[in-house]
Amino acid sequence: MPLLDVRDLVLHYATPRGPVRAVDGVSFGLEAGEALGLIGESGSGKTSLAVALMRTLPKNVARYEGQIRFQGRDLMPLSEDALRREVRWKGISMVFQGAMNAFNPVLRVGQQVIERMLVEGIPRPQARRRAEKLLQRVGLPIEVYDRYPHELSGGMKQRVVIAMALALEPPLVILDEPTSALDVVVQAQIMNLLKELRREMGLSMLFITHDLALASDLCDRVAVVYGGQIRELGSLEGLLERPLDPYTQGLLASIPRLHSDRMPAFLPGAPPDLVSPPPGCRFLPRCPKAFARCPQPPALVEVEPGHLARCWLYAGD
Amino acid sequence: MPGTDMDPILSLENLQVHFRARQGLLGSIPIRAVDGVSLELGRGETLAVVGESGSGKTTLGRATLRLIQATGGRIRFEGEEITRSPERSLKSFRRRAQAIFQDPYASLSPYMSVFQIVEEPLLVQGGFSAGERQRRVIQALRSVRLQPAQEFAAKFPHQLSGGQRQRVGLARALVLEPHYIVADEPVSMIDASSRAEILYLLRELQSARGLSFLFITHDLASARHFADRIAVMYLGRIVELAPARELIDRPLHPYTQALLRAVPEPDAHNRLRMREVIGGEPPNAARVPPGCAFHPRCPKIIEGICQATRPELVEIGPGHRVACHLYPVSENLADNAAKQGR
Repeated sequence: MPLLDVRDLVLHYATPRGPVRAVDGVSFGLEAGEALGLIGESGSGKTSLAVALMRTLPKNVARYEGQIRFQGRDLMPLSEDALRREVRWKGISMVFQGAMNAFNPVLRVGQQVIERMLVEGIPRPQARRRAEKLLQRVGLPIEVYDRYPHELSGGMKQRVVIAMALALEPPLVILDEPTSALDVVVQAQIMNLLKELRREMGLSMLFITHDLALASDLCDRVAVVYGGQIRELGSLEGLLERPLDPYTQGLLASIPRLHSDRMPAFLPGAPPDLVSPPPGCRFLPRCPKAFARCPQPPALVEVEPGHLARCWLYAGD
Repeated sequence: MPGTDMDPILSLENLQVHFRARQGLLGSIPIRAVDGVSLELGRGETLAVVGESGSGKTTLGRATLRLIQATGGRIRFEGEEITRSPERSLKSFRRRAQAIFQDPYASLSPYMSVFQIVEEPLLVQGGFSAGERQRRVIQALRSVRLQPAQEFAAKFPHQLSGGQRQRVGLARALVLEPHYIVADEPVSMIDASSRAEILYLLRELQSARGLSFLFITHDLASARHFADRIAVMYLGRIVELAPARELIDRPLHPYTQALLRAVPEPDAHNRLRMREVIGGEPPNAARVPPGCAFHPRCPKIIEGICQATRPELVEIGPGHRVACHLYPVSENLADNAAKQGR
């Protein structure tokens, strides 16, 4: 049984122009100990997918449905109160994009790390001990506990954010662009840390990024998200070596390589407007391999064992 | 490669930009953002300036445009020294030197149409009739492939994709037919699958019009493919400068080597191994270490030398310059090390 099993998840936002179909029928599973990458460009719906999983919904939700099974239990019927008490942070925690810039500037770092433990009723001295251990676990000196956020560098702050996500020892962490504001050397340090945490704590991770190359530093499997849907899902090896979907192929070809003379390519055009996406395949207007069937919506089907694609090229008859 | 030996369009000689940043109530601390940069940019050349945040690369680019005043050294542009020229005498320079910036969302006014945005530099520069302005705006839009140009001219920024906005920014830079463009992280806010489109466009303009670019970026892989040469900056100084492929394939400076090792690449083996990565934090221009500024993070530090003496940028191969005591070890320095080691 997978740790997380998502079926037909839908999250639409209401806007004056009509519903934005940010998550539009997403299904995937995540095994215990696994790191799954969710790759998508801006407006693909990848962050909304995390929002839908954590149920940290904004006010303008138009439609929110589907199945989210975590440790065998469907989270959708749970009340907000039960979800907060039993699942959020304790079962599934999240590192939000830009969280390192969202510290309370007048509270010491340690205070912010133990906040969630205190809410859980853990006595303060015990919480402090656990927080110090966590800070060390993410590669920081204990002294950071008594520092203010402005005294830390960006890389140190991001480590604290990761420590906070681990405060209640959740089996699954969702990481949304955890290195997006960091320089490349610090990014590599954080990626090393995430690998260590996986290995030593057996953590499962959902790693959300726009950067397929970065995901390949961490993830066992990768899902490519486009227009609110998963277009391709497979092992990292399979996806990098035999990408099936023309969008995945384009994305891969667009990455400039350091040690190859092959110039990066690009995909002309722009991603679909999620208020009025193309009725058939959502990649059709940009697809170099479009043919007669593409105005019909393709389903995500298993093309090779464990390798799924949403593309008519692989649909058979 | 475009001739860098020929008469350069831009040459910097020991350029410095120092300023004071306020700290606390009364105090201020000196910031050495650019600290002695010498380089030449050839006509029709693209020179990438690569570095982490705080390396001074953006300040360097702005100083060459006289958007930030240099506090030392010299800037020569098309044979003319402009380091301290008063603003009123820079009118012709301002036409010939332009910039495109990182954020295509923030750098375009939401209340102006694409036509008005691209027309603005012509109005500021003055001396263009309405018909001439119309002709130039449409031509600039065509040259960045916003077609049909008439249709795009009537649009507003919110109606455009990120890549299209960046092309509007580029059209605005081109409308005065400049010779030199500073492109500061021109694609870092654009989706990966659209980035190369902008970079190809820049390259095409470079070869079709003989434009020279200072391409400021943190992305070494893009620099390899779209620049002729790459300069690596660390704490306000150039630590290595070489033809693009040479620098990527045979990096000499330990900092360049560390940067290259940190670049993620789409290789499935990477997830199984830890990356070899230098420690420490990105540099802080308010606290520049003595000697070689990189020495506190350097895995190849030579005790006694690197902390004491600042290495000069010296040529050690054809067009390949490096500022590092590892290359070449002069006898003087070796003697010093021997003495201090005793």
